[in-house]
Amino acid sequence: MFSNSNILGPLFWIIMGVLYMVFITGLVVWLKDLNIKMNWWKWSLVLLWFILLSIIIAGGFTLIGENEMRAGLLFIAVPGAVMIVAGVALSRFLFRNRHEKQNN
Amino acid sequence: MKNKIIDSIIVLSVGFVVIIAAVTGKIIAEKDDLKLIGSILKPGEELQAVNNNKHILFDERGEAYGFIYSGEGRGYNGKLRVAAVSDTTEVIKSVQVLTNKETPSFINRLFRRNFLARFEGIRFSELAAGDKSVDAVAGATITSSAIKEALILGFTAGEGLQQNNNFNISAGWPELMVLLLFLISALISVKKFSAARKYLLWASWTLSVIFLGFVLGQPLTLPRFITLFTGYLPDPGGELYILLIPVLAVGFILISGKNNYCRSVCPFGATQEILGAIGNASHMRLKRFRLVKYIQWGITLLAVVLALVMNNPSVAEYSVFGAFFQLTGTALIFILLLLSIIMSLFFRRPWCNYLCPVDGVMAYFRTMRRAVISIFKR
Amino acid sequence: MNKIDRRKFIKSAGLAGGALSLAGAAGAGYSAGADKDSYTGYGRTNYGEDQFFNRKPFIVDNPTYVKKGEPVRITAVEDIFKRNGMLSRLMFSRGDIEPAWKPADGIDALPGQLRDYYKANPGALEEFIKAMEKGRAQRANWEKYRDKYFIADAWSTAHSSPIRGRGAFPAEPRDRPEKSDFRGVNKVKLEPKSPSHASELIKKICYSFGASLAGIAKVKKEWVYQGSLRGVGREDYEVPSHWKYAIVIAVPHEWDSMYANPTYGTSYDAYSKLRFIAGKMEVFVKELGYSSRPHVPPTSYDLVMPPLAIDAGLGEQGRNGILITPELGANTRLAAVTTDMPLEPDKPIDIGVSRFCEKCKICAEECPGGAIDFSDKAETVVRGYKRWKIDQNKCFTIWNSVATSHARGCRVCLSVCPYSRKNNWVHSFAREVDPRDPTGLVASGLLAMQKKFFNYPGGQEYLPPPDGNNRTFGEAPEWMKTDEWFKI
Repeated sequence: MFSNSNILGPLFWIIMGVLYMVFITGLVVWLKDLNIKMNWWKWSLVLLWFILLSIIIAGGFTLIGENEMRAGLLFIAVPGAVMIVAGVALSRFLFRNRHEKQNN
Repeated sequence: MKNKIIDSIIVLSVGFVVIIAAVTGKIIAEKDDLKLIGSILKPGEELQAVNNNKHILFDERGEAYGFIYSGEGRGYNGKLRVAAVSDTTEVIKSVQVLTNKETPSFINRLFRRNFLARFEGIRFSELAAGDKSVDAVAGATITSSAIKEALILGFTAGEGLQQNNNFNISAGWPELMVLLLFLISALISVKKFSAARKYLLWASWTLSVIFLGFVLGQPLTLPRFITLFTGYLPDPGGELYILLIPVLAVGFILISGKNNYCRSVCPFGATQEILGAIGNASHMRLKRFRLVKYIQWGITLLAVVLALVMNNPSVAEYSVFGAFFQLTGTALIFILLLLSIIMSLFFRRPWCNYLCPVDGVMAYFRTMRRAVISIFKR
Repeated sequence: MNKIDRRKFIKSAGLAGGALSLAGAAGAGYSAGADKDSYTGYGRTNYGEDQFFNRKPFIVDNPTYVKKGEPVRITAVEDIFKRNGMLSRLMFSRGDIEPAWKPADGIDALPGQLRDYYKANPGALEEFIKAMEKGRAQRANWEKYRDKYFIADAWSTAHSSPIRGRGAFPAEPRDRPEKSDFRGVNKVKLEPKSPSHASELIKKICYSFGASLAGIAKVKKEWVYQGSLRGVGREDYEVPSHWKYAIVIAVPHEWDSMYANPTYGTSYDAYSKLRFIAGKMEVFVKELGYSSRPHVPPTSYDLVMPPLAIDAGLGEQGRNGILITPELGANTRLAAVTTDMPLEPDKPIDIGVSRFCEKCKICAEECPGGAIDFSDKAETVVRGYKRWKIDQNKCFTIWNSVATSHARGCRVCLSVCPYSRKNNWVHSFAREVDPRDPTGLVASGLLAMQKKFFNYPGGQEYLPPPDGNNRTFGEAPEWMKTDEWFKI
């Protein structure tokens, strides 16, 4: 990562960490506002989905970085399509038992 | 009354266009055999015909050094002509496919994988007697068997040997699976079973996606209809079920007027239904539904006419089935597939409703049935 | 009001954060793929860190090659280079002298060894004549492709310079092994603390000389050539008793050019590296007070390398006949140094290569010459061991057919092999998980992805027109493309 600099590499991962934190914080607020009750295994499912998606994207781009454009795109497209379907299924599942909308 | 006349006009005019296209395609003559075989010669080499299937090969010094045998095999979309160069001891030196009508991505897969090179060094007599065998390539079974068939036929006919013409129809689990799926589709229409309808549909969809889709990879496609229309039958001993599907699909439409194939047998239709269930898909309401439908059918008609005129059914292949079940196809097809998958989550059967070429064929047969019935009722 | 704004801010920041983190994952992935540290053999080699695969869990007592019948030592005529050399000297004599043999004379007019070989291998002689024809066409066509492969050809020639003629390093032995292997041995000799200390040190020195992989094997008689010995010539001989151990070293070809085989890559980059490493190792061992003899590519061997490397635990044999190692896949080139220094041999490993090769067959499908066996199991018995048959003669015809300035190899079977992968997290996953999976499901899944996702042009496509389109498996690196740097 950033072979010409030994500053940007660590900085990149610090920023990534911040982004994950911001994402999770935002997600908590979203779920609250959508009246979706979460528990530990629902959270694990959501995070597992997100981590898998990240791995698929990172893996595909690794292949693209290796000059394997076709393989990289298919690596993203095929499991990516499965992830989209799984994402829709997961969100329907989360929305299924949500509480009546409250006024806040 | 007015509708009936329109029906008849549509049926007749579409039929007329298709027949004209087919005749045009046939008139554009097939290439001369000798010319085709001549194209594989090296400079200075010459040929002398012994019969239609056997030629003697002379080198530049005028010495006979081998033979070329050529024959036909029954491929997926049509006959393919294959020529093989052998030395004087009948050992195959090289194999070439002279003409074929297979889907390019299909047959290219064979060529790419050195399939033709696998015959090199085998004696014709051993190949014909089945002593030495070249295995069919997974994913292109029919085409690879057809090449082998052509080689054996070319040799036996060229040498005037007894041809091994045993016509053995063999049916296995794929045929049973197709029959089962159509049986379920018929049960679904029966009023008595309306309570079980939902379960029957789901059973059928699941079976279809797994077996017809991923295992066999043989949903009904436009080229299949075109080859049947032009009177070509692939080797029925090999894969009977690929004939069974179109016959049953059209048969149900003509007899009952119900499109059983699309509803419950088609594996990609089933895929869309499953995706729709996951995403709780709704029916898409288009303002100009009729217009979109005519465009869809128009494209199908255009593809059929083009394929017939060019005398090559594979031209009409624009479905996403291959891309979904076998991961083969062009980039455009893959994009179309991805869109169809994502759309299927939110709308019921987007591919069937707006793009599928088989839908047009089925609609045509339904209209035909209606027109015929109306004539007899009068 | 204020509160709602804050919520809205957190919500949109969360969305943006999620999207950006996915983009970050893409960027991290991309740089992992493009990272030069993943170019095994071109990064951390000198500290031994390119031999990163932990072989311990896969150590087996017996090597994975299958013995069938009585082992036979390889003779010079069975080695394609030596055989072609013998035949060429007969066919293409220097000056105005009539050639000693022409194809019209027939096989029976050939001298003993050659006649026996070509009688036992029908079609091999025709294949050689075909190769010569193809070679003529190759030279005639070279002008058409010269500009395109200008840099690649120059690069290859530069790499071949330490290999040829009087300046070659290491120098060819000019004496019997009993003499030449001891020439220059240091009179001072320290006793190693133990053979395992000696082995460890030797491997560390191998790495410091630039070897990506190093292993130690006991010299088995059946891996030693018969009938020709460097420094002596054609004679039958017993294996010298001081050839006790072999230090086996392996390096890869430069990865990007290797993927762009057959036209951009070369064999000589790895060959010259190996010659330097083995040549220096010869001197190092002699300085320690022990005999040594280097065995280096392209043809300066008295031992057959792949089985020796299998004994040394570096890898296993693949369908393409090449040693496949966990770190380098089929992109593995071998040299060895034989010595009487007391060393501790390494144990062979089993990472399931033959099980994978039974299913894969990509190399057979992609071989431009159809020289690689398609049969499921390795059934052909060669000199007492089972293996997949390689038609050397067909292979050599392709060397003479592909668009290079002269017959300098093809190596497509190295590029297309699914094991030939760089060292990044995606491939390391496959590398580590597959050999630990007893069911073979991981291998099948990976293989399906390999075949569907990657673009395999197919054997014929690597040939020049009219047979093919001069395709390469991977795209050539920018630094090899002439039009990027020169006015053409």
